[in-house]
Amino acid sequence: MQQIKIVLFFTIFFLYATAGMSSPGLWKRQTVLQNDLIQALELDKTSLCSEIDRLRCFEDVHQISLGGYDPFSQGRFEGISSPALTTAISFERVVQIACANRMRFELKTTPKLFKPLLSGSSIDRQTVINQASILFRRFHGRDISGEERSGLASFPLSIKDNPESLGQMLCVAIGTMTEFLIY
Amino acid sequence: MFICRIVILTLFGFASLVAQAIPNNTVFFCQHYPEAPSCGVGSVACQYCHVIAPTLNAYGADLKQDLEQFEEYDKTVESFSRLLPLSLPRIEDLDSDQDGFSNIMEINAGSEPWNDVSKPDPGEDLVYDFDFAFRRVGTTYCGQSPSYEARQSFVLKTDKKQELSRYLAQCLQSSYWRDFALQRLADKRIRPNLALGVDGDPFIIGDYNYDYRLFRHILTEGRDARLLLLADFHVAEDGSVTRDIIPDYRIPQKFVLGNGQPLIPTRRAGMLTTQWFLSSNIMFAIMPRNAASQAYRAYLGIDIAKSEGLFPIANEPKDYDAAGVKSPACAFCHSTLDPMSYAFSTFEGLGRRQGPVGSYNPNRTTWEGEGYLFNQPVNDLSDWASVAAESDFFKQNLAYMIFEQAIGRRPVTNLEQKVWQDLWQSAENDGYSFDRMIDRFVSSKVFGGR
Repeated sequence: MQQIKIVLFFTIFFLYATAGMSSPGLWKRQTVLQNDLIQALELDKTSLCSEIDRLRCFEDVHQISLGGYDPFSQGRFEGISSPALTTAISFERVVQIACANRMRFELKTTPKLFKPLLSGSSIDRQTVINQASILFRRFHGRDISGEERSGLASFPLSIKDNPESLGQMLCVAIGTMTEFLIY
Repeated sequence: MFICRIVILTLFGFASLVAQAIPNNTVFFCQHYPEAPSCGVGSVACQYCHVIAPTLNAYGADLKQDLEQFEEYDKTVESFSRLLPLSLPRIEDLDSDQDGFSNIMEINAGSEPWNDVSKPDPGEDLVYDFDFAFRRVGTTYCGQSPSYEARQSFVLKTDKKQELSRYLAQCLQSSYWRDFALQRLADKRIRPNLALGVDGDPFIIGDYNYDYRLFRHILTEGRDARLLLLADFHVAEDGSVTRDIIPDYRIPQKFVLGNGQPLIPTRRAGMLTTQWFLSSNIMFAIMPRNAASQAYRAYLGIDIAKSEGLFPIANEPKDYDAAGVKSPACAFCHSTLDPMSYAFSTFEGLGRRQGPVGSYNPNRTTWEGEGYLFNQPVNDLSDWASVAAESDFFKQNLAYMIFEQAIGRRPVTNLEQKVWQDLWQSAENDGYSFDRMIDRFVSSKVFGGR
């Protein structure tokens, strides 16, 4: 329950922080979203995302809701023209799985993306900000803003003893910001 | 009647003395803003300044207030016309109707600066943002957002326009663009079918990989996009171009109706005469209406099923195949559709009579030379393709393809319409190069404005 609350804290905070975006947005379809997640999390296509360990997220399970289609086997020659009700769910789902897969990978090797949290040092607010800064650059190609930084300053550190969960939550919260889906 | 005339003459006499509700004022305004959309006929309506003359609206009131700051303003036509060009710019930055858009923005956009309900097109206040465009180029044409490092590097570039073009050119060479995005652009034009294509089982009626390769070849490297309808070559699997006939070949345990390119080069018309196009669209029809309407839809952007692009021909349809298209409910559309189908009728479909699927058979029908396209007589499919390739519809369709691929829909707003129009009207100057047209589109505010 506490973890859910923290994810909600991040998600609501970052959605609020990006609400002022004024550009006429286009949404990333399946392939571009997949490519951007691969780039952000440095995972290859096969290890990025799968459902129940065998169904491909982007090519099978979430393909249509993320705007993709297969002209050859499905007889569809165009994707959906605007996001469907399930698009947001699929978007959050694939980011969540990809973040979990990256964290799993980091725990087996020398940490890179989650280095601040997984370095073994004690976690304070500055550590969280440093971690978020890396993820902002990775997902959004920009530095974390002052407003976003101050929002993190009030972040409750009650789960600091579980850096793995904390890292995944940050990853999901930052990766599911509208800014990552809309360009 | 006499009294009316006196009243009218009196009003005109009064109007000649003071600058209230003088028709000429509407001309003076347009002399100052000749490019304003509201000045299309050289003058604006009285309502530009008045609710009902002489009562002024919000914009007229601001103008009056400014004019009155000139000591020499005595409300005569002479002083009004002399001082108006000085006063108009001074109220340009005001927002007379308090709708959030300055008067000059509304004048330039063609909306009403006195009416808070009338606002500029959402696109008119967009400002081109190179950093934004840089990210969009990456996402749209490279299939990936630029990394943090790439964006930082772009910000430091002095000539951002040139750098953006360079990045675009790089993206248009990427495997994402060539092997994926262009394929998706081709899908609804080629309409592949796994069950009947080159890997079909048990029937194979054509190899649509030739279609995809030809489509990609023509729309890359700055080639002339008219080749979509005019090419007399095919692109082999290794990327080489060949004008040779490519014979069908047998595959054990499968019924191969076609998997080569058997058509003689002199009868080829680009994407319209690949074996897959002819076999999947003609099939068993003696009158290949599907082939003609798909050609119309895919490469000219007009869908006859939606009553688009109708150019009825007198004494048509003749109903050569006795399909009943002369009935009143059918005749109007078929007086366009049938004449544009005649040119396809000498190509073999699946119900081949002589020669392989997709080959040319001048004896298949006797009405090949009776066709019309856009009210122009066409002797055969080569003629049909030439008329189509030189048409505005073809250029417009190219611009639609670029627009839809990037934005996800056809143009809607005034700005989008303008950009689309500029795009297709520049196709000739751009040498019908898809790449150059994309470069032009990327530099528009529709693509890079925010």
